[in-house]
Amino acid sequence: MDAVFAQVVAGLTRGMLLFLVASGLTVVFGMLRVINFAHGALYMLGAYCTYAVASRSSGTAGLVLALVVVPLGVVALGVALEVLLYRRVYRQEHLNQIVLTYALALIIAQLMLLTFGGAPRSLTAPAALRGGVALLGTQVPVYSIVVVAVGAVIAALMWLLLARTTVGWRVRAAVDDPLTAQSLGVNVDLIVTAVFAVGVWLAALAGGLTTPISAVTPGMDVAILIESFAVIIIGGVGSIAGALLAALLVGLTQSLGVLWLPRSASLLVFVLMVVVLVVRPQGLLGRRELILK
Amino acid sequence: MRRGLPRELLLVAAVGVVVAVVGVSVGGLAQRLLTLVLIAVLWAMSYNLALGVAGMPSFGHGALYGIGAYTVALVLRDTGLSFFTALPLAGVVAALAGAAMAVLGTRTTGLYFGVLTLALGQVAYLVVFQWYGLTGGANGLFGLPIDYWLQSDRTYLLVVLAVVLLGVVALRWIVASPFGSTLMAIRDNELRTAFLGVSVKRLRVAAFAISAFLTGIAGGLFVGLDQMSFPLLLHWSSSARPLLMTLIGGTYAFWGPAVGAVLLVGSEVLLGAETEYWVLVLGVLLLGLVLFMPTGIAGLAMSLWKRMRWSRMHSERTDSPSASVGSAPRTPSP
Repeated sequence: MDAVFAQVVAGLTRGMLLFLVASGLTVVFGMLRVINFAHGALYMLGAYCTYAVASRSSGTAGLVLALVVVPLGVVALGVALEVLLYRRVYRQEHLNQIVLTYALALIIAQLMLLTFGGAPRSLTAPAALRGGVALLGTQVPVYSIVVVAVGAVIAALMWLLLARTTVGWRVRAAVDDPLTAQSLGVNVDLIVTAVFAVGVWLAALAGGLTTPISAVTPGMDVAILIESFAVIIIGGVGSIAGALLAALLVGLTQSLGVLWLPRSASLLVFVLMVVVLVVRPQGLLGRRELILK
Repeated sequence: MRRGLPRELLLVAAVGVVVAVVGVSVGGLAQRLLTLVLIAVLWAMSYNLALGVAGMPSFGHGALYGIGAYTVALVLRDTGLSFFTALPLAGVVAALAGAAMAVLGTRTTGLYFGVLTLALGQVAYLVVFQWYGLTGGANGLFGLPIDYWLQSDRTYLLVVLAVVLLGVVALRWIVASPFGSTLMAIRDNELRTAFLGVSVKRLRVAAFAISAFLTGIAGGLFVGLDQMSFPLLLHWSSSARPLLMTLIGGTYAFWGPAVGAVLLVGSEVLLGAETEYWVLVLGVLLLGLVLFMPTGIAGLAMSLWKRMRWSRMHSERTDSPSASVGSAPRTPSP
């Protein structure tokens, strides 16, 4: 029982990180019909830069500082890419957009390989975040609680922003029907850039948050991207609530799969995905019209 | 379209003769490069049956290629059958996998179809990667017993050339057939074609299965070259290859993907050997391609050709060539 509970905690932690990455991807895809292959690379950039900043100091302050500064820096890069490059291909064929984002993913990943080398880097968590808390009769790592809490707060804030503010209405209008929204006076270009920036910020933050619990390696960009696609398919394109639900499901499937079916754990997520596809092709919380555009 | 067929057949035959003559006279290394290019040509052109003709952007063709490769590898290892029995089997198994992929994928369309094929391809990759007992897992399969006379680079090049030419001619025939025209009609306007009584899904699945069949053959041909197969062939980075070749060459021209295959594989082998920064170079090249040549090389060639023809016609009639440049069509109509 203890082992199961520990795996549930690990799954929720992993799921929250996955949610942070996938939510940005799903909204950009829902709004622009652009698959941003560079999203994983920006996540990796966040991880490497957080490692570089936080490894210079051992305290909690260093990590927190890195988690504040690094995502903002990655956002600056992301916005520059959006304004200078992505914007030029929105009105072109989808495949050109894919090649553009794929090319950027290759370039960013290769530059990071040249800068940081191929060896895995890992950060020791600061002492304050290393211990455990007794919960329901077992020890739960403090850091897991922090990650799940950060993810939950961000999810709640996103929901509030989208459902309860006029800015949120405009964003949703732009996602649903950019042309009509534009003709009603919504500045769609600005919203696109803003949503893109938030997505990049979330990805870079998630990258930074993983550094104390898992090694930073080349290839982590590809791994997270594929998992995020599975999350989008399971949760439904363009749906943030769907992304949250699916990310937690995927995280739990992975961690419990390791416990019960260790040899095929990584396959289980995709089995889940195929089942969802067959039963409900638009995803758990997705809408049908968004997958047929 | 049909009327152009015999002339194109002559062209294919001529290219085949040239490649064969060059192939037998160059050294072993160049023969291997030529073989790789030919396999890539078949892969890219069969891929474009799905992408360019049927309008199905697949990001899972790496998995189909790898499934073909592993079929040949397993048949060679476990049955002792000839390579020429294994090769069609590779096509059949890949076609079945492709049909399954398309049946699941055609529940959606467009880009989302692509994401689905990517995820489904990754399932195939993981199965091959983890089924150690059957596939050798991460190590792959090496030293497969292949028919003795195929072990010379020169003979193998000629065999590959024959198979690839056959495949390309078959593709040309399919594209020019009523089936091909219907696929293009679906691509251009799915709803309208459905209203004409066409079973859109069934035709799409069929097109995807044919594309998968030839992709599987290409994968099988790859195994024959070095008598080995490895899981990376199924990986999604492998799926990007036919897509990139097709986009470099151009989707709407039948021969575009072949041009792209020659350029990608050629530059990879020639430049990739020179620099360890090949991926970086590739990224920058692709970026340039999208920003400055969005219709691919075939598209660029077509628009240049149209512009030339247009300005020639124009200058004959009005004697003012300067007026013709600015108003020439900038992109070819598909």
